[in-house]
Amino acid sequence: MTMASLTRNEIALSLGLAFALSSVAIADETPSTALAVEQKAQGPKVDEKTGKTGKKDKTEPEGWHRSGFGFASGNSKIELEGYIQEDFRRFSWAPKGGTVANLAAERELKRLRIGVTGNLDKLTFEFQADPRTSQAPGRLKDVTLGYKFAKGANLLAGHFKPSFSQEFLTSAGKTDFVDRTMISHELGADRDWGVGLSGEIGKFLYSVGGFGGDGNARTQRSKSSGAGRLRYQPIKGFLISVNMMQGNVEPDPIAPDGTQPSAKSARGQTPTGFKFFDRVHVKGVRRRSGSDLSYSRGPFRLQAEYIQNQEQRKGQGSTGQDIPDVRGSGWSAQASYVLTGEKKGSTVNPEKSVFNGGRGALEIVARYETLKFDDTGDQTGFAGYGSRSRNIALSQGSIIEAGANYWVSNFLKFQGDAIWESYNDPLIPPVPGNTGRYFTLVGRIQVTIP
Amino acid sequence: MRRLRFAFLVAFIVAALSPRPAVAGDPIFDPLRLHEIKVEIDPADWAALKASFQTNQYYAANVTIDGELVRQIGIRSRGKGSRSGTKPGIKIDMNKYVAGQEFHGYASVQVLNSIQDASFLRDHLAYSVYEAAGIAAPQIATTKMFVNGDYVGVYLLEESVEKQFLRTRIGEDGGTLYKYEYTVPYTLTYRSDAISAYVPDPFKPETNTTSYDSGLADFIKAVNQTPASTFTQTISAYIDPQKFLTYMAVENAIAEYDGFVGQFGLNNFFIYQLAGTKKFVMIPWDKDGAFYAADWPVMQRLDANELTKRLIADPALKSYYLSQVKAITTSFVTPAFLSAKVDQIYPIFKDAAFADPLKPYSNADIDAAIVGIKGLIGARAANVTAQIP
Repeated sequence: MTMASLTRNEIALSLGLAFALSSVAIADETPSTALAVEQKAQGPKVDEKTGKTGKKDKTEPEGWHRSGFGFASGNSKIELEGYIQEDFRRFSWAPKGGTVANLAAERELKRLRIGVTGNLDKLTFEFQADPRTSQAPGRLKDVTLGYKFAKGANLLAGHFKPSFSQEFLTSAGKTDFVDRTMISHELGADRDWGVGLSGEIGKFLYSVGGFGGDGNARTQRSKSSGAGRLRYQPIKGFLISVNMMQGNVEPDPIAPDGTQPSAKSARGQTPTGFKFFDRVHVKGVRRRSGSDLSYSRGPFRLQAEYIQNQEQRKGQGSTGQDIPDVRGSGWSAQASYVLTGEKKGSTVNPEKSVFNGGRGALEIVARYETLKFDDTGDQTGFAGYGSRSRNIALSQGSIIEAGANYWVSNFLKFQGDAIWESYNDPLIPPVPGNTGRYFTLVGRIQVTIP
Repeated sequence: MRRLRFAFLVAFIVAALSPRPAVAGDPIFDPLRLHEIKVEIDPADWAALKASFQTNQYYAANVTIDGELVRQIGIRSRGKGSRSGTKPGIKIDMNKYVAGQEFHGYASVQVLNSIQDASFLRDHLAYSVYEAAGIAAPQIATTKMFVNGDYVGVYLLEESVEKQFLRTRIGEDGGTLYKYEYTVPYTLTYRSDAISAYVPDPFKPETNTTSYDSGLADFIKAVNQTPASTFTQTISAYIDPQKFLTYMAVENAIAEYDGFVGQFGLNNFFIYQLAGTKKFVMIPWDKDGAFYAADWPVMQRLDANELTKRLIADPALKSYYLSQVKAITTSFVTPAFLSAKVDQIYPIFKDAAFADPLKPYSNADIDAAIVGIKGLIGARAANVTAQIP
């Protein structure tokens, strides 16, 4: 989706929102009280980086606040939330036999999110969607109702993110890079209908949930799934977590004429849109497991994550026999440093925006990640790339990424990243025989409701 | 004027039948060599391919052709009537699992089981006649095939009609290539103005698969609805009538019973719409039904096809067609041209064919087929000359 392919209504909505945001915020910019961090599965706002629940800001005034985008009264409030992201990409390469048109768009309106969030005393609610018709069937984002029984018990029901993966649980508007890690994107889950319970008990934060599947808008969705995440904060600024998610996958039937259904396993695709591992046919348990850690100190933050996704292939051999599970696994490590000195929280808030005579905030970021796919059986015999291969040939993609984020103000952010991709097998890269590195530049302009 | 027309006709025939400049054949299709294909595949996948040979399900494999290894290709069962679960013909797709992978410039090659032709030579001989008449035809050679080290018999290694073929044989590959996929008897009758009435069934686009224009529908409409008085002139916008009739002349010269005017309607050809034009050229395919009978009528079923029926209604074109059949037969469907090829090639694969454990006929059948085809070749020219005095 690019600007050019948007409907007139969508363009009007985008431009209108951007104009409204900039004009209001420039005129009346106040220190942000909207540092709430994404963690829908945890029920109430919980800071992914500090582990603290997001209590109501003591400085938050009664009545209208946040430049008019929020209203508070007593223990209740309602706030408008949303953001727009326009992405740009420049490839220094093209896949053999294809063009960059087969990859991620060179320019696209990546996200257009709009919604409301708030609470009526202990009852919480949220509605967020992407109104573009092009986003169907994934237009619905977070639609939740929650109730805060106590600090250690918050109930949440609706359409929201299963609590799995630090990177996935970070709002797309607050990620350190333009694109999320490929391990979280390819091995992780997506929003689905469900019920969750979460809370904070001492230095632990827990979250469990039951869902209708692992991605309501995904064609390779699992059946009913359960997810759980446990975080421990041994010292201030240091968080370590483990999480798990499990569900069953049923393949679609083979057509009477023998046409095979679409395969449903995880796949290997880099943020540039190049696919290095195609989905294979799976049936049975899909189990995700992973762990992550985060260390923050002032303007510096270090994060690392490991994710594994193992899927059974019962009866999925080419003669209907059981074949070994397919396993995708990978890890990422990333560091960020705010050069202008602001504290790195869930995001960075410039001390003084450019619109108020300040310099904004500048951050540099770097990341390495690798993702591989293989089967869990013995490695004897022919190892192939087929969707029903017993012995799956190892496919691995790795990415080095470096970039910078610049907050002009708390509502306007520019991001730019350089990506170098490489592959383990000379047959799987964009140009067979050249394992890399493939260089791509990506950029983003983001306007957020302040 | 009549003399001028006759002179033009003679000049055209001479030009058409003059030896064509040798096309630089790829060594992997050298017919004077018994090639070797080795397939490495999960045994369960090979068993599945044989069990579900009527489907086009792909399986990953490594293949070595004449010592050159190509990894992670896709293979599937191929063919129409020749599909077999015992000795499956296969299509080897170089880029099924590896984007852009090619072998000698080809995205795929065909490996035919030849279970409907005990001589293993009908395709090769037929294509030789098309080539001699100036019509580009696929290259083909015999090959031994091994699967996971087991010898599975003699096959035919055939060039796929794809972009590489179009580039090297037609001269450009930007147009739309359609493969005729037989489903029900069809004789090029008008169905609708809409291209969807013809594409993808029975004309399956092999290039420009989503960007073909209405040219084929326009062509078929012109075939059916152009008044007789302007037919030749109008249809010339879509085909070269003489070139097309040369194609048809070869088909009946070689006594092909399952081609453009086959016993069951259209079958076994590609039709290519040249880039940026509405002009089409014919490409022959799957000629194991050739050399059916020495006394095959030279006008066989031309009246049963809408295009051929209307073309030969033009006396000049009918005369041209008959002269082409006679010239092609007497020049190329002869012992000197074709039987010599049989004598050259048969010894190359004979022992391997006799050792073929999966062929559906006996060794005596192979010998008999060779004798039979040479006998037909020996008698065909005389029969055609008798039909066209």
